[in-house]
Amino acid sequence: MQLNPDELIRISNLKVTFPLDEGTVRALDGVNLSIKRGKVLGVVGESGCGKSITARSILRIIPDPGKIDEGEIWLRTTVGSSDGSERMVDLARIDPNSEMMRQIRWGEVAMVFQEPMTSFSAYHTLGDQISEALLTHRHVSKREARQRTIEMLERVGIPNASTRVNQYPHEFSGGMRQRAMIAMALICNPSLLIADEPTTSLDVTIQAQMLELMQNLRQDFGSSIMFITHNLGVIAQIADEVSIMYLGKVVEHGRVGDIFNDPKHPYTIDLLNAIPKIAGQRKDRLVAIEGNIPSPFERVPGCPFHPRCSRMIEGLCETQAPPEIEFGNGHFAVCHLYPKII
Amino acid sequence: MARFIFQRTLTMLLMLFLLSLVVFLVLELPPGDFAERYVHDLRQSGAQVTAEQVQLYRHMLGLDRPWYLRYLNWMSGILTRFDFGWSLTYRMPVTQVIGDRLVFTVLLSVVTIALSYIIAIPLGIFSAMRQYSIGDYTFTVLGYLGMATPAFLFALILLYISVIYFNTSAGGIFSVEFQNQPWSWAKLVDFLKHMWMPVVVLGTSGAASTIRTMRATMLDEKNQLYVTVARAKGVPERKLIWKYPVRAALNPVVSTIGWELATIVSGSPITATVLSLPDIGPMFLKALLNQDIYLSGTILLIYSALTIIGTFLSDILLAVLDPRIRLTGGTQ
Repeated sequence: MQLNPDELIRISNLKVTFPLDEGTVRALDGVNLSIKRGKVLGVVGESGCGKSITARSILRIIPDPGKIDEGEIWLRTTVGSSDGSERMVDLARIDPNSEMMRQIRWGEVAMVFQEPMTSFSAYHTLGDQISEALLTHRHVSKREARQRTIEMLERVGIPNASTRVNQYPHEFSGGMRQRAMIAMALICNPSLLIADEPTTSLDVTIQAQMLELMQNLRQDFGSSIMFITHNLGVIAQIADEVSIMYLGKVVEHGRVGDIFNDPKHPYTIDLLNAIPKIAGQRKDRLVAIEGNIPSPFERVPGCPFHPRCSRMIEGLCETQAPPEIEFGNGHFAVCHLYPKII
Repeated sequence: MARFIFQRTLTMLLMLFLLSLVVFLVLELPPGDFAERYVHDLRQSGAQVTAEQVQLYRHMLGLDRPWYLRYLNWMSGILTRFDFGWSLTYRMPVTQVIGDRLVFTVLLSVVTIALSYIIAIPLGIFSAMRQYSIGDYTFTVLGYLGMATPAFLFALILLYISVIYFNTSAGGIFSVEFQNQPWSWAKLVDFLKHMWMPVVVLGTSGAASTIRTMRATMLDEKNQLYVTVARAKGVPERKLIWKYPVRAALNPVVSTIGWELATIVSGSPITATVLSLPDIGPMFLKALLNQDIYLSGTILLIYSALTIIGTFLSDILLAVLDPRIRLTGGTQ
């Protein structure tokens, strides 16, 4: 497997299952995605489509009893090389408890989690928990780590950082905690930052501040970002490329402009139609996608979206897995609607 | 923090005062007193005792004065001279009667509690980290057995085994030949040979329940998001387990350590009797039966004062351990 020169990470055909007593949940059913160096990939989908599991698979922190059955996660990394040169590692294949994986975690790939309220331990100061990341991965003294922590807290916009660094999580608001989380994620200057719905649990004004902060930091740190959200508005603002996920698969991928202006997959089209429009008539009802996500234990034959699809082709969509159609510029959709003309 | 401790100290002192009053009143409540009891025993053995003699005896002991005067007298003795009054049955100061036994009981209990925590906490952590493993099931079964077996029965079984299979006498705290000897190396060895059994018997149920508590809280904590975050941060597994979930799981255990203070002195009368330990428990029972009010009062006072002090210590410990408690207690 060879990554393209501009690619930082590529996930191909990733399958993750959760064998439970009630049956097996196919959380990821062949995910393909790739993130370019210094670019932001937005990952969009409904709850339960596998966005977070994809992210956690990269760090190999899938909750029990989930396991990777198939697929590859190739990351370009300098970990484990003596001369600092880059090489490629398949994260799906290395032991999650190995020293290699431990060094990649946060040293190369850091993550901002969805719930800032529970991401920190209540019994340790924020400064302790943030500088711990630095002390774990970089050769710095405790003094330096503390100094760097205070600087990072200032950069993410936490006032009085030098006193705040000694405070406990409960003394911070949700927005402030998420800022601290971002500070912690960036303190080792990772090559990939995963942001798993970082703004979902915050109110709208704080969300806007947070996006602005991330855009500024992105320019300063140059990390690639995998930005997971179910909010298309956020994607339009921050992402370079977009992957749309449905039931453990990426159904459409492309540059942000292509996805918004020329969506191909019916699911993407429905998602975009479901965005409430400020200019719309008051009496207009909000558009919703028909039906519900099937039970996680069910295996939908054919195209996973066909039971909800308004343009379903009888006799084809429910029996055969759809092909991946490329529309140019790296824009592709997995759908039966488009004959292989292009 | 200082303010929090100050508030708690004041509350504790008030509670201690109320407690001493309640203890005294409760012991006053049963009809009759020591004089009556004593005369009853004399008459049983055939002696002739007149009503005047009873009254005189009662006067001698000071039992005819109103209760509040006796209470004040008792309390002022305790506070000014550390004098807990006069044991009517033993005809000695109470401090002398219970002194040795108290020292022994405290020693035994402190060793027992310390050992049971030292053993139980790591086992609880192990059980949780290897949930549903053979080790976990083993400790779970042992834990339930330990909790469900009454201590005195366990003591009897151990006594039986040690006498029948190992041919040693295990009751008491010294072998007969060392009974009245001064302390020596051989006596210490003999003492340790006898001590293990009460420590095991008294420690088992506490250790068993600590294992259960520790396991349950660890199971809750180890799947919390902050643990996953620490793992994602690349903190080595062993270090992160001890730093994060163990720290959080210790709270419920630590918060009950204070309550153990009371059990430290109370021991358990039945077990102590079975193992013929010079514990304080059997003496308490006897003092109650004889209406030896200052002796029983002192023991009861110590029990309940230790409960209150233990709760106080637990509060302080929790505040030290949990920053959230510190805040709400300190700034309001």
